[in-house]
Amino acid sequence: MNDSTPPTEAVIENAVRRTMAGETMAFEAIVQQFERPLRLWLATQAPPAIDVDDIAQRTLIAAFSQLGKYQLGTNFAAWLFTIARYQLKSELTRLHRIADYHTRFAPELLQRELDRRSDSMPELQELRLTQLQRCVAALSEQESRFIVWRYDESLPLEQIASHSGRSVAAVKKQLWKIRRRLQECVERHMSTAGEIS
Amino acid sequence: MNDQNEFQELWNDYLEGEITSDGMIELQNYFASDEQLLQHSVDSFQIHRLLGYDAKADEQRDEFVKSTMAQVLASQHVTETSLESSNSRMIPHTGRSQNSLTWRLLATALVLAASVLIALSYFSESSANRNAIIAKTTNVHGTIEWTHENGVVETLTETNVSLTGGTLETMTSESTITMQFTDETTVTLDGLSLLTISEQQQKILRLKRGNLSADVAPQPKSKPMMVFTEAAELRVVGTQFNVNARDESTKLIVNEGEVLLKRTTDGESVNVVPQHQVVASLRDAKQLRSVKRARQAHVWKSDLQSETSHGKWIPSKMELVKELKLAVANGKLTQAEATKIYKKAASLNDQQGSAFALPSRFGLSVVVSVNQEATIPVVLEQNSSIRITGRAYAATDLVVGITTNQLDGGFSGKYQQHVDLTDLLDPATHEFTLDIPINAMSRINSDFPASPIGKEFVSCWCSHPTNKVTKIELTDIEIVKTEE
Repeated sequence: MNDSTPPTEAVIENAVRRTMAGETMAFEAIVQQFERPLRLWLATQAPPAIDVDDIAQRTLIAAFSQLGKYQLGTNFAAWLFTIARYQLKSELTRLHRIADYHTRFAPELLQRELDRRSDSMPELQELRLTQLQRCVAALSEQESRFIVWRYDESLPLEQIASHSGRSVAAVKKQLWKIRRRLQECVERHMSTAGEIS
Repeated sequence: MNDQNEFQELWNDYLEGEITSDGMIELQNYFASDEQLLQHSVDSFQIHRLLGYDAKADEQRDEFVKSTMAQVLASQHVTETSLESSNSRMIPHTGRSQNSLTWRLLATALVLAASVLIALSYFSESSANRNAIIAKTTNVHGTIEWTHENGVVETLTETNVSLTGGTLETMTSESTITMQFTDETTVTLDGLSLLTISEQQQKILRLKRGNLSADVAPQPKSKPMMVFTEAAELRVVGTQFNVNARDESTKLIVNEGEVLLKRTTDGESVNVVPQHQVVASLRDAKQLRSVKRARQAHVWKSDLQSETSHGKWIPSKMELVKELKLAVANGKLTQAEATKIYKKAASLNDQQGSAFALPSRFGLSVVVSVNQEATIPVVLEQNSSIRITGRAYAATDLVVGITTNQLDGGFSGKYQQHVDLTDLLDPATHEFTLDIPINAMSRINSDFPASPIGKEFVSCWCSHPTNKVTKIELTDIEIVKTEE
């Protein structure tokens, strides 16, 4: 499903160097390499009101326009994620200006905890996703069907209820249970992975 | 319900974007009292987002890369300056400054020449694009003004007229125009609407006001059709939908496919799926929600204060104040008497009032549309009638019309009836009551279905061809079922 080979620093540095030299299309290699980690990281850090793809694009465009400030030979990924954090914070600041932000988008404490976690390593989310894919594969056929309906096909809960012959409330409960199980499964795998490493 | 169940329900509603403001406060209270619950919830949130990401990541990847590169290229000219300075830092100093200077001059000349060539090709291409035919009219009725990009204004009266980019204005309540783009996307504009169309790399429609119904052929994901209104922007890759735009709000109904709506005020967006609708408002800061359309209703009673889409709504009390002031000024009442009358009237329902027709060079008209927030379509039946009460001054005739949509989406047709008021007006009060059976109304264009029965009622209008000393005031409109 994913080509998670980490981008070699040499490939990235080469693309940065060529872009700096005026070969704009070389930047596509950077977009290709960082599209996934950026969107993945933002998906787990941004509250629902934020358009993750929009912030990821803004990050890449800001990186392109500020490329002159990047020092070749240092860590491009770290530099890019610093821009991403800044872009996300700017968007959050804009949203916070809306008086009732916390009653519309994210309870304050939840937002604070997300902010705190935004300092974690972006690679961690890639690892969590890999573990999650493993856990999803281990779900029963019936449980998998709910995941497909809800996430792959983005069906409204009413439609899931009619497909599954259950009430909307029962569908909500089922999704809660599945997410809970996946969460426990991911945590289990993460701690095992932590012990091994 | 115990605490755990209540929390589960709140949390699910939060993840599904269905939580209320009160629910959000309750959620905050839960988190404040239980740190572990907060940690679990953030984990759960991240699992939810990872599942969402994983489901769409691969299919969105190419579009994301293409669209990002397009924006990078567009921003390139801004970046060039900073790149140039960093390039100069990167060139190692060889000591051969003369050679370096010559090289730089040569490079600058080459860059300038290339820029001129690129600019020339861009301008010739964009000029060609500007003049390119992007659509043709397939159905035209009523008065429609077409302003070309070069500023020439003409009145459209025929089908098969080629359209380049420009602005279309349907000037009267009964006007409608349908146009077909080169990829067979069709767009219908009706009522008093104003729309700018353009298509260079993608279709861009700007609906300043009015009603638009579109049946959109599949568009490239990286170049979706964009519809902009005051309150929202819509991103469409292929679907059937209706939009109603007013000064401060936009209603979107999706009948097929999906449309992404982004609210102008805060950038909040919602994906609207078939048989759902959403209203984006410049004033309302509530969470944006896509709501499923309910089954059907067959009767409707207007709320003129909120549903007058063209006309002036004046509350009864304001009229009374004007009359009382005039009476005091003319010595017919004392200030105390006028105040007493006003205080007595102040107990009246504030909602009472009238919708007055507005004048234009095409006559007087007032349009009342079913509330944007209503989720139940009003479907016309064989025994449906439209009942209108109001007052008319110096007018002996009226045109009453209705606009209908297909039940499964899209504009359907307009129907009208000419009414002779001579015997219907009360000479003392100028009041009238009209009861017009829907099945007696005539279609105003032979391309529309013969009858509006079975269609969704969306709006009605009353008009008069002149605005000389004429005043039309509506006090109530209803769709009723006539007794068999």
